[in-house]
Amino acid sequence: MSAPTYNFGYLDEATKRMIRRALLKAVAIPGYQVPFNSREMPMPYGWGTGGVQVTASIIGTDDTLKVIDQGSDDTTNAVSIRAFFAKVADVATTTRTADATIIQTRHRIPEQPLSHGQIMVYQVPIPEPLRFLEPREGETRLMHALEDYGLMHVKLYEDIARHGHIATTYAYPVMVAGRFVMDPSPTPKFDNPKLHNSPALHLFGAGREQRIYAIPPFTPVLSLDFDDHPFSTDAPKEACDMCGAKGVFLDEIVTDDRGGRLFACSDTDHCRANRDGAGGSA
Amino acid sequence: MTTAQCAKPYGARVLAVDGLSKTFTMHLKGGVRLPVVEGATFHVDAGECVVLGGPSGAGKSSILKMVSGTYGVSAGSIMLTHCGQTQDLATLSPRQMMAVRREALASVTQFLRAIPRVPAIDLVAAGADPHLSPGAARDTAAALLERLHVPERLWGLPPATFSGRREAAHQHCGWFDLPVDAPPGGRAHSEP
Amino acid sequence: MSVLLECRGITKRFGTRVACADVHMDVWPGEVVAIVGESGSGKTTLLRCLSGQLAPSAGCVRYRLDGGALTDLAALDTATVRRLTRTEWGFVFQDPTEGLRMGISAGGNIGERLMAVGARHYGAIRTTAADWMEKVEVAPERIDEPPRVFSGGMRQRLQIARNLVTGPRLVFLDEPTGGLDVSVQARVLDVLRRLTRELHLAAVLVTHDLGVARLLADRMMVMKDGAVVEEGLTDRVLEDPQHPYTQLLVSSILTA
Repeated sequence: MSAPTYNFGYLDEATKRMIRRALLKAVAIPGYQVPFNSREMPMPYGWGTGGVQVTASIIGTDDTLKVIDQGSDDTTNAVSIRAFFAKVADVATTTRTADATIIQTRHRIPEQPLSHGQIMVYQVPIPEPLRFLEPREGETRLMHALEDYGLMHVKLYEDIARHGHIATTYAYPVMVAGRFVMDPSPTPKFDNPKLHNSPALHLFGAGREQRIYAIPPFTPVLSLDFDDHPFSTDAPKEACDMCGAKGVFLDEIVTDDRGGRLFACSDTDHCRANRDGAGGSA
Repeated sequence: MTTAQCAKPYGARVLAVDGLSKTFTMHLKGGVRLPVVEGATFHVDAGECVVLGGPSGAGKSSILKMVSGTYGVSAGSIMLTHCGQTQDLATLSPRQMMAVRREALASVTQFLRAIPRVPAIDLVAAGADPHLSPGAARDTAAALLERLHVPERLWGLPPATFSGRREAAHQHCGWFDLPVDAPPGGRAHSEP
Repeated sequence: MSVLLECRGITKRFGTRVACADVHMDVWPGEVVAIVGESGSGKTTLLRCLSGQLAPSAGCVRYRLDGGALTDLAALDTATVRRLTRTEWGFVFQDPTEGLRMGISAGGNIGERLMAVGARHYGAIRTTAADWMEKVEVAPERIDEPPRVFSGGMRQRLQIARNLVTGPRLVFLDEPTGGLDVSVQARVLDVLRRLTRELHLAAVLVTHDLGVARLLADRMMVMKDGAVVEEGLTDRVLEDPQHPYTQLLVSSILTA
């Protein structure tokens, strides 16, 4: 008996069609959370089952896949998901942003500007931006339906009242196409402006919560704020200690127990490209 | 329409009470019927002060309570003329009675039933012309309290802290035509 | 002036049990109407029908929307009802944990309605919230503290502020002083009384306490077993009660 074989992309074709229908609906209603019938995947919830199902449903033989986790191509999660698709779909993989047609991500959007035709796939733990304010699903869905979003600003109000500024730094809520308030997944708010009128297609999959949502190319995506406390990315003032890049999202790395530390690009491909000079994708 | 804007020619008929009767039915005491007023008839003209005399229990207060709407009327009529309009108070709806109380009628009793904890001046101002601004109402109230010789240091206190002058303040919750229910009684004796 | 809310023949059945039967009432701008009765008399069910939270089994409730025409609540869509409940209407519950977000600061609680109708200036929202704290006699310095650290009476007053901040025309009060000590009750009642008068608010007040009704209400309705047994001017109902049940209620509660 031969080794077990999988359908192309692991999922069966009927499941892919179901997920694609959800994706089409999500693209048609930017920011709206479409329920879908999430499948068991060969990895635990919280490891990107939503993103993997989305990628599995859209990937084709001519695609080139890049997977990042916290901006890095070489963390366990990124490496194993990349290997998974290399095995079950036999597709080309890359770490270079510019070469990828599909980029599955957890927590970051690459520093290198995306181009039209590229697809970002996000692994989403909790898709509902109102969840921490309103625990009832029925109520939050009604709030979305009626654009009843006052509560979202209450959260930002509380931030300012407590910290003097809006202290939400990741999963910072955005208004998509002037209609739906959306959680951009746990990406840092630093990446929020990259979503605004982005030429790429952004697909979000939450496996455990069974929700899919999307931002089609060139869709206005605005971060919520107050007139007198406008949204700011709080871009780090420091430069990357590895490649010297400024105005990028940095990881702070403690190097010893005497207070030594260095800052490095969170986007490892961007950092490598900068160090390689013209040979890189930057 | 407010009192201040309505002229009342001296001697004009203001109130005509005719055949007024009141019977209480005490359901908790086996439905016993207790007649307290039977066929009271009198009238009051503008500029007149009419005294309803009689021993305790004669029904004087009950008549006034019927006029002011606090008691229902079993039989008879209470015709009140105000601003050229005559209405039978015995047949008014609660909302109409509220309007009459606001515009045409005021009452004073020996029993202080003012709202507790409200300063005298605000209590008096609350009875002022509803069209006045809060500031103007307070000014009017201050002038009235002064006229009644209520010392200014008491204006900010609730009238429950007053002695003999408390119903003076109470009275001016509405400084209008009618009626007066034995106000001096409280001054002669200690208040109930 | 014209009627603000009118209800005709409101009946609500739960299964075979009739919670309230054939109730008619009108509420006019600026007047406080009390619905009194013992627990189980149907007064809260009636209030929930009046405020659109519960669909009556029969009868209809009409409200003068935006000061325009009387509109049947049943004909309104959910979006309109929700907009009403955070702009033209207010709800003060007996239990402040129902009417307040306990984990959110006093300022956030009061500001929520403002933000819901589009206020987007943090400083202005905060100033308004502080003003309202003053109006309900809660120290504005405590604007950043959550309701759970406030006393019961203060929570009730915060709930009142949270409701009145958008200048509603009609407020539903469900036993607003129910769970409070007598002395604390008095202060909440004083605030309610002052604000209903100052703001010319119409209010429907549900209470089992005749003293509360006497202090706040212009008119009252007495309910027993789901039916209105007596209604009229507050002082008339209290001093010259006609129905045996009202006489019992008055004699057992009022001693003065």
